[in-house]
Amino acid sequence: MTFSTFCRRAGVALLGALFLTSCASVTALEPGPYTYDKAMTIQVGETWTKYPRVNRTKSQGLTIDGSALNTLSLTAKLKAGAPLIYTLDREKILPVFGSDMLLGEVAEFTLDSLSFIGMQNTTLTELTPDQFGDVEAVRFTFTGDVASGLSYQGMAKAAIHDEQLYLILYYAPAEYYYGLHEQEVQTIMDSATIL
Amino acid sequence: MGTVGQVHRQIVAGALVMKHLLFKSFIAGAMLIMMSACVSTRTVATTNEFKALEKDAIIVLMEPDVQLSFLRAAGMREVRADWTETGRANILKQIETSLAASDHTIVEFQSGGDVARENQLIRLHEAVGSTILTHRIFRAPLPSKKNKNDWSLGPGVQVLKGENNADYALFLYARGAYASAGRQALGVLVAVAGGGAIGTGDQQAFASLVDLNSGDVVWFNVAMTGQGTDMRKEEGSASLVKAILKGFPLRGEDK
Repeated sequence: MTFSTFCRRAGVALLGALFLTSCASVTALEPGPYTYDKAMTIQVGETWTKYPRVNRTKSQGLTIDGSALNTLSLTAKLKAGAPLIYTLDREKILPVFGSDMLLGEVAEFTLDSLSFIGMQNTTLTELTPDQFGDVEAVRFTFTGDVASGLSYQGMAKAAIHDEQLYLILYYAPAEYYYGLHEQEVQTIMDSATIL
Repeated sequence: MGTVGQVHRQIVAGALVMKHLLFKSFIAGAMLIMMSACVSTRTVATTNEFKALEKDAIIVLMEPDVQLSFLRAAGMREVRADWTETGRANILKQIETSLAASDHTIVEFQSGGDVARENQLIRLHEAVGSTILTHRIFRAPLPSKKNKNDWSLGPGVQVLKGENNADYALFLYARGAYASAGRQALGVLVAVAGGGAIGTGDQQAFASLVDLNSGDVVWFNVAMTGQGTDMRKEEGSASLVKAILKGFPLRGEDK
């Protein structure tokens, strides 16, 4: 998919609406404990910008420097059959979560999902067992790039609990921005628990 | 498209989509002035620590990231390599001319060999510039930044210092679209019929001055022009460059 194709699909009207309607719902998340959707707790050490929760994907986006420069996404209680991402193209068949997925398959599902919002050439670089509080989890890192050629790095922590997906996903340009808040994100992931 | 719910979903689901939307916001802003030939500029003052050198700074002029398109009657943009090359050359020449009278040394960027890293820095500038544009020009909220304008490309920019051990790098990103005769006619017809304005071309650019030690963006400016200017032509590119360099902090006596 080319840059211009992406732009055409997005549309000027959408952006205008975005700016006009989302402002009131975009707030600061100050350092301290944060409970997301009564389902997950994390400990935040820096001030983040917090976007509204998306009901369909059970996700909430956070950023510090701007979404193109660092994005942290929290997902809790995503049920089987639901997509992790959302696009305006209704003809796209999006990857959906399956409650019978192995944790390694969740990593692949995550990267497949990212490809639908413009992350290309994704590669899983590390996959290790982890804990999401008391729940068995997986932590993985990955690389990818966008149409402009800018390379991204990412890391994520995922668990399946009560047949629902819990995921903390972070990605940022590999040049400078990934490392800028990497320790903060590590701390957030280490502190995460499922309620 | 464009219900509130959809918009909110888009925010969370698509940070990468957002990046591309930023470009569209650029276009949207330009549309507001598309019917005029005037040039609109807006400078973002950095909150990074920055004291401009009075003279003898070495400024690396990065190759302008220019892309010019043919705007078809149906509104589709088709990138034209020949126009892009002409526009890039015009912009480069105009910048060099404009800064020639300053008390500083302007050098064109020469690759130091790490081409992949250098390209990443140019791409990162596009992402950072688009972010500044969105949150400081179009004022999309970003409460985590509060009132700070402290964006940076990071110390990795030192690979751009080159043999001259340059102090700063000047990045420029420009996009332009020029309508077909059919679309221009359509624009007239729609306007005559009271149907509002149809975009018949626009030019937008942003430029950043980057400290090559810290990577901090120490100056940022954006310029948008209507259909009356054309960077494929010498006068049009001169007009755009004059606008984009307004307030440039290292121009010396020419400032």
